[in-house]
Amino acid sequence: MRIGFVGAGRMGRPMVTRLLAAGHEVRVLARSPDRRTGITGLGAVAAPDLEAVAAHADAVVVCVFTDDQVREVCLDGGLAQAMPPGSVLIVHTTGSPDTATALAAAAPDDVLVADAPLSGGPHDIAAGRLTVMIGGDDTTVTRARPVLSAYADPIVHVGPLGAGHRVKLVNNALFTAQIGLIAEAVRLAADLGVPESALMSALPHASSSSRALAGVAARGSVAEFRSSVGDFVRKDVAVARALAAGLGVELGVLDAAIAAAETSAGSR
Amino acid sequence: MRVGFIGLGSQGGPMARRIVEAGHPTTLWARRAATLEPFADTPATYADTPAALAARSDLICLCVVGDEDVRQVLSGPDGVLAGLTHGAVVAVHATVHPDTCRELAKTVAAAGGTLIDAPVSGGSMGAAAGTLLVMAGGPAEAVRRARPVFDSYANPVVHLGEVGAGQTAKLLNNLLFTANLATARSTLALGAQLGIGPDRLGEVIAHGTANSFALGRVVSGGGSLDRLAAHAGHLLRKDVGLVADLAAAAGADPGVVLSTADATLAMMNHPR
Repeated sequence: MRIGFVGAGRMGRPMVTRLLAAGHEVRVLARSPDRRTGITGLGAVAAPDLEAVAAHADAVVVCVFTDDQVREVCLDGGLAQAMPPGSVLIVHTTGSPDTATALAAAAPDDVLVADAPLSGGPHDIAAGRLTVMIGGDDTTVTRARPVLSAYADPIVHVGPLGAGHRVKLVNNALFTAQIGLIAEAVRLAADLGVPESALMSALPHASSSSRALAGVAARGSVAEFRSSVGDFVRKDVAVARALAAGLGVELGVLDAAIAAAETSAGSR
Repeated sequence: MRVGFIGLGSQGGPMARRIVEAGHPTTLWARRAATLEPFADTPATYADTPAALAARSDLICLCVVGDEDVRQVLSGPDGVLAGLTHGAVVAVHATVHPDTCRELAKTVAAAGGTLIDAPVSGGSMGAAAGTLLVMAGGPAEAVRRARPVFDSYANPVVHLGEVGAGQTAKLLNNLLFTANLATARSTLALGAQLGIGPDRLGEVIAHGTANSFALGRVVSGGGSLDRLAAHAGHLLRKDVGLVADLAAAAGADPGVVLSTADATLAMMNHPR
């Protein structure tokens, strides 16, 4: 297939490599000469602008960092409007379900749009085992699969357009709540005479274990871990809160635990 | 190191077997002879009383059930303390109150030995596989001496602090696990309100950053806590209550982790 690509960074670069290895022709947005050299070095074609990325593409993959950048590229930059008839636009960037809807509205009627947030890192992409939660109708997901399968497994179809974002935000809300609970458990442990380092050597091996707990243990402390994931988490939790509020949905017990994660480390 | 082991139930049985198989000379005692039958094919020897067991052991492991069982097996004319040799280590594997360990540590010290608390996590399968977690509390020297024996069924063995700290860590684990159940349950409910079915959401989160042991239990229970409540509700309520008592006694604010664990107990219809 002929695939356009925007956002060949830390995550995007190994995706491009895997797409090329799967036999696809890949055109990557590269505006500066330096970027062009890097892209052609991978074996991909360097596209000077968004129109060249979209031209004759069967699919375009967007893997920029923020939801705002998605809007800049796809709406203000005209990528959605430039998509050829019958092509599919796949957005990996975590953001608001509203952005996914706005892209579908801006794209021509015969262009398919999928929101496809990720779970995993560059090493998962390189190994072809990235988790993708995809939102879109059945036709869209069927068309996106051959592209995603170059680097993703499992590809979980979670619902209509926007559902991928919803699932990712719910995941991140729970992740943040777990950090809050771990922070509180660590504080309580210290008050009861058990130091954080000792507790973190034990709990990852017991029933309270979680990915978040393993992350804290690997970083050595809740404070360290929180500062390493803080920006991602803050951004997504704000979107999740706004989403829940907009739908009149309660976060329930997650609310207090998330609040505990948001208060600064060791402030009490 | 000569080992004595008391408490050959579903948890202690596989632990004792691993100790024997690792080549440590081991003495067993059980209230009922039938309990010892599975060890007939091993080099383990048997004692008539806990005192007789203690008399020929450098490390005495107690894997009985509760606080009262630990006290009983230690005390009286036939108890462990009556036969304790100078310098012996008594390891309490049972999950009991940290204060019980601190109090009994004094009694054991008066008899010339050292008590350490060493509650375990991982069940009979963890013991049989040698992957049990041991949360040890007590003097570093006593933990160091017991470690080669613990290593026969455990990995890792973590030294948490002074006597009682192992029990405190185990209780904190059970508190955090209980709290994790409420956030997992609420997340699945939130997903349902956003139009995402619990099975799909469970599949994605299992691959995602928010995965947890607790979430796996909730998903395997069909998104409900009912099954878990039926077999673990009482235990979790007891342990959450113990942490609340510890926090109150220490003047510590138990905070959100306790209120969230309480939310779980309420969802389970086992309020504290």
